[in-house]
Amino acid sequence: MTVETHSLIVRLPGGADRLPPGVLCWRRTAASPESVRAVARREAARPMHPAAAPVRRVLVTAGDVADLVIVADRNAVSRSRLEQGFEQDFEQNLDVVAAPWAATAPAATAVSWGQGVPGQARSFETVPVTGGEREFLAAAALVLACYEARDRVTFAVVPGADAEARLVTAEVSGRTVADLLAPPVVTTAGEAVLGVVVTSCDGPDEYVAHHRPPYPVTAHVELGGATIVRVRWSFTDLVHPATARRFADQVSRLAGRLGQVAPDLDAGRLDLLTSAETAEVLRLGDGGARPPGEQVVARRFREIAVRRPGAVALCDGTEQWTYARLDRESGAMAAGLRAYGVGPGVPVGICLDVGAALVVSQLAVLKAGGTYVPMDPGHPADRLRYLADDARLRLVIGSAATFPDAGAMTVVEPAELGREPAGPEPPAADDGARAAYVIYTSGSTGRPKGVVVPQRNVCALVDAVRDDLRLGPDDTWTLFHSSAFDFSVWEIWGCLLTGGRLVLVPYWTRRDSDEFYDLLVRERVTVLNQTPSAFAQLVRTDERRRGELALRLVVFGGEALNVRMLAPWFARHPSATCRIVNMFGITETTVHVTSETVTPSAVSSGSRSVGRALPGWSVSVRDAHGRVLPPGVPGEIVVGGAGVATGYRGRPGLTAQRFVAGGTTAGDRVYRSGDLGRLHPDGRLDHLGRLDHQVKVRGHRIELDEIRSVILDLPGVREAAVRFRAGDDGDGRIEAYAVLEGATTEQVLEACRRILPGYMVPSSVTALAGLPMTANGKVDMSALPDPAVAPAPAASQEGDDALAGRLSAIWAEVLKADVAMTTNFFTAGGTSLGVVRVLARMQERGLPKVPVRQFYRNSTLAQFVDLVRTTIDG
Amino acid sequence: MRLEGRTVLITGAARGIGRACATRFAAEGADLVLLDIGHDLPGVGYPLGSADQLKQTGALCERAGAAVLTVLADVRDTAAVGSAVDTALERFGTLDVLVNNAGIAAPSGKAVHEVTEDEWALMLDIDLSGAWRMIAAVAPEMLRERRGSIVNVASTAGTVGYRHFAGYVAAKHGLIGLTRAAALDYAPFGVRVNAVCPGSVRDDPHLDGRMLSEIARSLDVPVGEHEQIFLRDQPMNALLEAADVAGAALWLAGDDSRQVTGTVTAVDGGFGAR
Repeated sequence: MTVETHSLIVRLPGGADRLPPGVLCWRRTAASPESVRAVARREAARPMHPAAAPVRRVLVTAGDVADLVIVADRNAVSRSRLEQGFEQDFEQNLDVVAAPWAATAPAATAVSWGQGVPGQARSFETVPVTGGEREFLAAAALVLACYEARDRVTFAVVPGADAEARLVTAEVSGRTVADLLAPPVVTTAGEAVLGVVVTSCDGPDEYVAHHRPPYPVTAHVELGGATIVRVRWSFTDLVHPATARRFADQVSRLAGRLGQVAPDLDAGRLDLLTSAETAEVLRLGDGGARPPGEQVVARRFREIAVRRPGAVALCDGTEQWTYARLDRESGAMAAGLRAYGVGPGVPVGICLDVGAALVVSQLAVLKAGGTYVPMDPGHPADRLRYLADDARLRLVIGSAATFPDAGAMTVVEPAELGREPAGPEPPAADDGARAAYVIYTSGSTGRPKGVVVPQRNVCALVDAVRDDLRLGPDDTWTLFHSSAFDFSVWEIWGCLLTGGRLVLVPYWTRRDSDEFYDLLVRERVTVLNQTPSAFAQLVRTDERRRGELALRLVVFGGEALNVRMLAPWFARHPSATCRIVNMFGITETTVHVTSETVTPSAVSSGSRSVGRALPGWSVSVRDAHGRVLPPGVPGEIVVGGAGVATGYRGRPGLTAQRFVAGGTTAGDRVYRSGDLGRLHPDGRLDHLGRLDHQVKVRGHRIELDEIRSVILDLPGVREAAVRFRAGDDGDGRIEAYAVLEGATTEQVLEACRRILPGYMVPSSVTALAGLPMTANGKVDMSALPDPAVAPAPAASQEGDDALAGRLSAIWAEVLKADVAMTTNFFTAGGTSLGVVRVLARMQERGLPKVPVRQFYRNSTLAQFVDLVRTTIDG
Repeated sequence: MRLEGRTVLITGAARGIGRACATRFAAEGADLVLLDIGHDLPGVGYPLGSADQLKQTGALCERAGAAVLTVLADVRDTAAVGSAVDTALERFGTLDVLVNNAGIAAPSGKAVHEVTEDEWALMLDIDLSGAWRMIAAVAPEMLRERRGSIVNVASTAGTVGYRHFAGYVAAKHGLIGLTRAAALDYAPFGVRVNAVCPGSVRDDPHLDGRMLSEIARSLDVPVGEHEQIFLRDQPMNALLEAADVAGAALWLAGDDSRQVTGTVTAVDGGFGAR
């Protein structure tokens, strides 16, 4: 408990003699008459003990100069009463009052943009501000609105020392300078982060309204007549010291400008940061120079293959591929590709599941000078056709038997290429600017868009992290992710361009965390890349299995990490043995952007930091006009540097919209990510989600509009809305709503399954008579009802034994819905991750282990119960 | 300025190490509450810190820019100690540092069995229980603020024995024990407790120091030759200055030692290295 004090310093004109006899005060001598006031100020600022008398007087003298310092409890003595502080009977006549800000000053509010350091509060004065109270309040509103990222802000104004604080609101969006300078609108009770205390200071006496700041940010404005003489700022330790200084400077500067600019100027056009401050913020987010290195992927690979030809490059089941063999066979395949007309810049589709052929094909395309376009053979035919068409593919490496009707396109099996022994391999193209690959991501127009990434970006990515992560020939990596997900770019080239051994993880092993765990132990994998939701399963498996893992590095990517899930992992694997690195990245900036080593202390603090930009990369946070925002302020994450892609294939308009000028040096392009973030004063970045309603499901970035447009395109559908509901276990569900004219919800789901990849298929489709609307005519997503669930189970169909009950309880937990014996796990929204969860829970509850494959074949609850019973009986 | 804005209470501040600490702390920006007994005690065979000497210390500190409150109090008197702390809090609002420096060296000069009940009780009451009373009075304030540093001025007699100084040695050993126990009690609350152990400190006439000659007198070492005799045990071949002790106390008082608690810092010119 601390006593809120205010103080008055009164110069006694006749020296100490003016003090009436009998007034008790402490006495102190200053070194000289000139230093009396400075000593008096120090006495005024001294704290008051809760058990002490509510008034303290100190007489400071030197020669015939005397200052009487009266310090009083703010809740016991009013400002006007303080004036009589040297009266004899003062203590007998205290007027108990509440401090004027009592109702509006929060006890301990969090400051969303503060990023404070405990114990590091700051108080300082800013230079006299040109302009008066009105300009100051308008400037404070503008700056606060910027920091809070809102169009409308509320703060407290304490007009005069004894007047009650008023909460005022100011609307800053779309307002002119004149609008802002109008008297602020008083609002009803509430709490404020910012308080502006306005007092007059006339003559030699000095009043200080508060010694401990009542608000997290307190500006004490002292007026001399109509002009501001001085502003004393106090920031509690909820605000970072550097941010405090910048905030105060911005308000002072802006207050001065408001008096000078045209009153009809749009207030939103006033710059809040100076160019020097902007440069400083850009420097904070800059990861430093790109480390030098070879910029062509195939040439880099060749260097390693020549240096260590016998080292194992790929491990595909029991088959081992040395670097020499991989080099030789990809060379032969490249020759085969050339025979098909593949040359510089020619796109080649690769529609293969994870396996040696996939890696050989990618390397072969690059060796031939072409650009590979990864296609997941598990994706629906319509999507594959769309990709082939959009990328203008003439050649696809894949299975001619299963690839959808190719039309004019040639589909060639990898084995058919490179049967001829390759002649002497022509030197790899020497242009790092040439595209290495085109990866398709969700598009806001409703169709996927191809991101074109040059070779030098891939090389820069490896160079950026190689030293920090100590990547080298002793490492064993896994290729876990689909080649259509750019995390696989990192897995393949991060491993092969640093001389590591890449273990290819088969399809079923990826879906069974026990099998995958066995693989990690058996192959002594040292570097593992996972999405946090997949890793969460692995943590549970590890807790149960307690095997001997050789992991020394786990890299997270693909979706936001909730660090708290790592607590059980750290309990078994100290960070000194296995480093955990969280990386934020975007396909358009070459897989990764920032990197943060996650420590057990970050787990306990629940940090949202994704770390600093990689060397060669840079991050900044900007507003809707592209202006750089200071640390603490949320805005759009903008990425620059070595990872910025060439653009979207065949979409100059969209490319120009998202890849814009504005890097730290002239001519640099930056990518506007559409992600929401904020910078820390030390250059680390917090990732706060998506600006629009693009979402991530199990590492896949999904534009909900893409799903919506698919549904809307169906016959018999009039309106549609799609929303994403985050689950408490880090997973989430896509829920679709439709206004139907003839179609059924089952038909809609069926169509989605036909057209969209599995991770984009809604968990449910609910028919509505009409979509709820907001006042300004948009779909009101928050007013959508809960999704329709499967009809309640009929009693006769309910399992009559305990096993069915236990299994249906597990299904219901995982599906978060009621289940009946007829419920099909996958129709009811179950995903492959859900399968793993069901199996994990069964194991935890002592039920037998069921092969994942069997689950897929027995996907209604009735079938599943039978399956489990057979397993038990067998 | 390493103690800017801090308030420090020093006992035994009238002269010697207490005065050296006070003036050093004042030069580092501290405000000071200076406490001493201000009169002699029957049973202690030499004059104790006087009111004038305490005033003199206060004046030296004010000259260095400090705000000073001087209080006459006997550390054996719980009520007087409590009221001194209350006055300090009225004046300064807070107490950040306590230096327990008050202590006597005599009555000494006897073998253990020759020490009387009264002599034993007096020595422990001042040198050990006095520090405990001060901590008991000041600690609640430090705990309230969740910060503070307590420096107990013990002695090399707190770590080794000296012939014919049983009471003093027992009290100083006890003070080190008190230091460690208090450190553990208060560590969770950000309050640190440490001991500093001076060796043979030269009696500086500017500080009105007289402890070393009183120790010599108790041991029947001829005063005048005693400095040369004490030098024999000093590897650095010099007696200590009170300012050397003040320097160590300053470090323990300030934030430079913020992770240091429950420790014993010898300032003894190498005496303990043997």
